[in-house]
Amino acid sequence: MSSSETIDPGLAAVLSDEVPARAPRTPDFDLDVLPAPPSGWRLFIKRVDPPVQLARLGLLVAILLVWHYAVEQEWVDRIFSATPKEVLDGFVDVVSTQLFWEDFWVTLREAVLGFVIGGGLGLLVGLFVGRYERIGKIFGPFLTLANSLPKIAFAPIFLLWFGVGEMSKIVLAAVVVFFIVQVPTQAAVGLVEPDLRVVADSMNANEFQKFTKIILPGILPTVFGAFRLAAIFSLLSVVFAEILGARRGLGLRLITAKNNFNIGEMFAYTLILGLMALTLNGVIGLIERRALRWQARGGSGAVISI
Amino acid sequence: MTQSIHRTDETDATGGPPAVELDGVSLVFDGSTAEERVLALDSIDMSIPPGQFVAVVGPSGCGKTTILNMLAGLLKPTVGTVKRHGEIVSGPSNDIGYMLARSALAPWRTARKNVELGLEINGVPRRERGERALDLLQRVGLEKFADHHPSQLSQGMRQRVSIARTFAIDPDLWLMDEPFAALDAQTRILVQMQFLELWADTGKTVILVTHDLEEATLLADRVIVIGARPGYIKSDTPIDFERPRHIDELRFDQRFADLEHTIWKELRDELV
Repeated sequence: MSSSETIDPGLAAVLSDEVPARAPRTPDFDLDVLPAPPSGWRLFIKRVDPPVQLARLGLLVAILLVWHYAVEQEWVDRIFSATPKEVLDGFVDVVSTQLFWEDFWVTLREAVLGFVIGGGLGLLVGLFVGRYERIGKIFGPFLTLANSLPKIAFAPIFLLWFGVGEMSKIVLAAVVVFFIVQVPTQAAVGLVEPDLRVVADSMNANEFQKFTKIILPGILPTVFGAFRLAAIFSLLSVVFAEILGARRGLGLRLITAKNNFNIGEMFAYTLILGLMALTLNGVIGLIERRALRWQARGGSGAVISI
Repeated sequence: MTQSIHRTDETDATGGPPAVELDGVSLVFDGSTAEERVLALDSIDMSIPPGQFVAVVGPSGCGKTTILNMLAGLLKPTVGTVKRHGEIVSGPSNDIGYMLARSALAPWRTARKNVELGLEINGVPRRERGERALDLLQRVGLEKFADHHPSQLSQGMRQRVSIARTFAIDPDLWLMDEPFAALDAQTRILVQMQFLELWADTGKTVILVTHDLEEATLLADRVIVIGARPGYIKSDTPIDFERPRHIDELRFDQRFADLEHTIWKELRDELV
């Protein structure tokens, strides 16, 4: 290859991003005339933004007051309602029992297994039907038809097929999760930077290299978006199936509390399930941020010029 | 189609086959009906000696990119033969560098890892890859940005990473599809100069597809004008400015203006 001797020094300096020496010019405008940017506690206040925090707190209090008032005024039958205080008491009662934690682990295990099995298969199938046009054509109509069915309606039949134990919940969650992951994965494969594929093709990359170096990293942002949604829907499916019929699990506890007219506990379970969904979403978000660090960096807006 | 152009004579002396040879190449894009069939290229004959820098200009849709894709082994001609060094092109090959208008970098890879892509595909060991990538980034003046992701770089810098990536595989033939088109005017000149500097004395063959007649005339040893629909060779003009060229100054040279004008007259008829 070439040596850099042919190029004149001034140009070489420009090309290597080193600004050629020239007398620095003092600007006419003095930056010091501007007020100093906030620092220390002022910066802290600016970040915390007290009006927003106060408004949030006010809104929370208002919701709790209206709730309490509605229960007291018996907008619905008092037997079927619970004040915020009763829900809190229910929450404390529930989480202090051994039984709760056993059921908690059952539900969590079902949801995680359903997510892993359904998500894994959804990813694989999405990759293959997205990558190979003819395979996509063969399976396309069947996948579309299957996806159009209300999956949740299979819960009763799964109970008959797989029993009242954990298996029927895992299968239902896996079926629901499968499509949540498969559909966007398939679409994303087709959208991975076409130019980059031309480059990889022209470099004579083999199928495996194209998969691991171009397609898989290219679809990750989409796949993680689908995973977040899928985790929540996995939990939802599991709880729904447990409500329908189960030996263990939080869905069973929830419906039992309702049947006993223990509305405070019932809402406590709802709250706990919500917290579980938030946690699952958060865990995936954490993995996502690690895997997609290149995206976060780009988002910082620190674009460097030539 | 022999041209008495710089660099050609010495390679011709070896008597070897041309680096690139298209012989009666026509290409038809198939439609669902006979009427939808499109004749994209019509009986193209082209012979390029090793080491020549050829620019191919023509209106949009004249089949310029199609020629590159055939040379890259991504497309096969309907009739005729496409040869490199006397051998028929049957598929992609790892001694071809293909550069596109958009830098086509992987956004999840750092500049350095992007430069390494072709080396990874060719199974070059990790250590050697890293050193070569860093060396090339240095030559395009981006060693300080080796660990930056493409989203943190400007268009011009991305395109320079793309040049480094192509240089990394040390291709025998460069196929460049409007590689400078997405850059603003000043950046374009910088990146063009940088490319010329890296290319000089490598003896590699370059085929540059562009809309930009000025760019073609400034950079190439020879400008081929492709007429439109179906694409055919309209004219073939040698550009015999001495090298190394100072293209930032050459732009204002009268000889350059005259030559560009001559080729422009050929191209103008195709634009309507």
